Amino acid sequence: MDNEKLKITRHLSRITNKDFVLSANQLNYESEIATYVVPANRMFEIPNDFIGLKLMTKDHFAFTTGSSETTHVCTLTYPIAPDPLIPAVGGYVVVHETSPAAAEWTNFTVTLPKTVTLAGLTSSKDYVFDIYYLFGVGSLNISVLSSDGTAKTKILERAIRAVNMLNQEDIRTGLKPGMIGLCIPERYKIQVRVITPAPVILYDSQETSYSSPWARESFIELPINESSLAEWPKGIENYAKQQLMGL
Amino acid sequence: MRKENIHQNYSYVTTLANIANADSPIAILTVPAGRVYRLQDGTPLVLKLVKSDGTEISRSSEVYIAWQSPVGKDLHQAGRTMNYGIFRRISISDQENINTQARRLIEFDDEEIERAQQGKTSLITGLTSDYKILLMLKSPDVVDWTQAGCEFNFDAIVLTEQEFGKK
Repeated sequence: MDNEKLKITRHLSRITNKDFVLSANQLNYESEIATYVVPANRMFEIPNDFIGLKLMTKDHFAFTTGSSETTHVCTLTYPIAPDPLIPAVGGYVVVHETSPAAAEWTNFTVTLPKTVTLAGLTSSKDYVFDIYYLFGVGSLNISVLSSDGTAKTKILERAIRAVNMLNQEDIRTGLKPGMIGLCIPERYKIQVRVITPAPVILYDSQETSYSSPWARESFIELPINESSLAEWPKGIENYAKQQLMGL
Repeated sequence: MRKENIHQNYSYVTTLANIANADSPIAILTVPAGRVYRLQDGTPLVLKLVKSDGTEISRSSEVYIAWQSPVGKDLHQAGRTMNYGIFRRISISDQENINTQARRLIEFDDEEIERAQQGKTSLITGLTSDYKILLMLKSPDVVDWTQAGCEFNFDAIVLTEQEFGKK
């Protein structure tokens, strides 16, 4: 890029779960859970601003209570990673009764690292529950890919446990990108990728194998500065690609 | 010049219900005669919005600060759009905590900064009488301000027109 003086007007925005295309992760392999393609004629830059990122997984429990049993102990598959800002009940652990009724279940206690004790059950009754929780196994990264997929770099890489347990609202400790000022022109992709044995469930109004309205503490909120590609000098796409390949 | 906390019961604020799924104001501060209001970059916003059934609005809702001139309908968005999820997931007392405000800061974009640099009217330099500062919402839900849980507040710098004229 020539050393000409640029006059860029940037609009500040955030891209969130509902802007990304969500997908299921491939267990134990690095795979994307959310992809955003930069719209035509736009240029994105990642500012030195706070990212919101929490990931939940889901465990499924089906059981019949005993003749005098009104509680049931559920041992989760993965350890819980508690968020210090929100409560356990209905916060970093959300219990959804799917059968016999379909409703949120709030009568339970959480014992770290991975025990949820459901209470208020009726004896000798069949129950099915889905338990959504912030989990602590594996790693995640936010990657930027060129439009043809041949160049790629990571702007953030952390353990899922660290991200989930982080107070992301504290300006002293909040989650910031490891790389800023990257030029991300039209058709480039921004992906949230994970390597974890747990299926990641993100918040969405649609219930799928990878999204749920019950996973409400599972979200992506990425700050971006957006500008018109027309304001940038010609050849910026090549420069952006070189940036990706060189970093 | 002094700092004042702007909230739903502030003298010059009118609260109103939004239009579902459209960008619409939920609170309007009309600058009174003789005063000038300005915002500092990075001012934290405290917010809880409740529907008529007493539950909070959708966490996918979007919130931002805008302003409007006394005549004309052009809205100028002044800060980065914020996702309501952050306001929903933490309590009001945590929102009042200086250590939990990272993603609730009102940040000015280039257009607003340029307006200020070029000497044009902006929320950075200050809005004079009859200008409106709007708290904007886009949400599938409609806010009910009669609900006790509804609240917003942020700090603004207030000057007299004499003070403003000296600058």
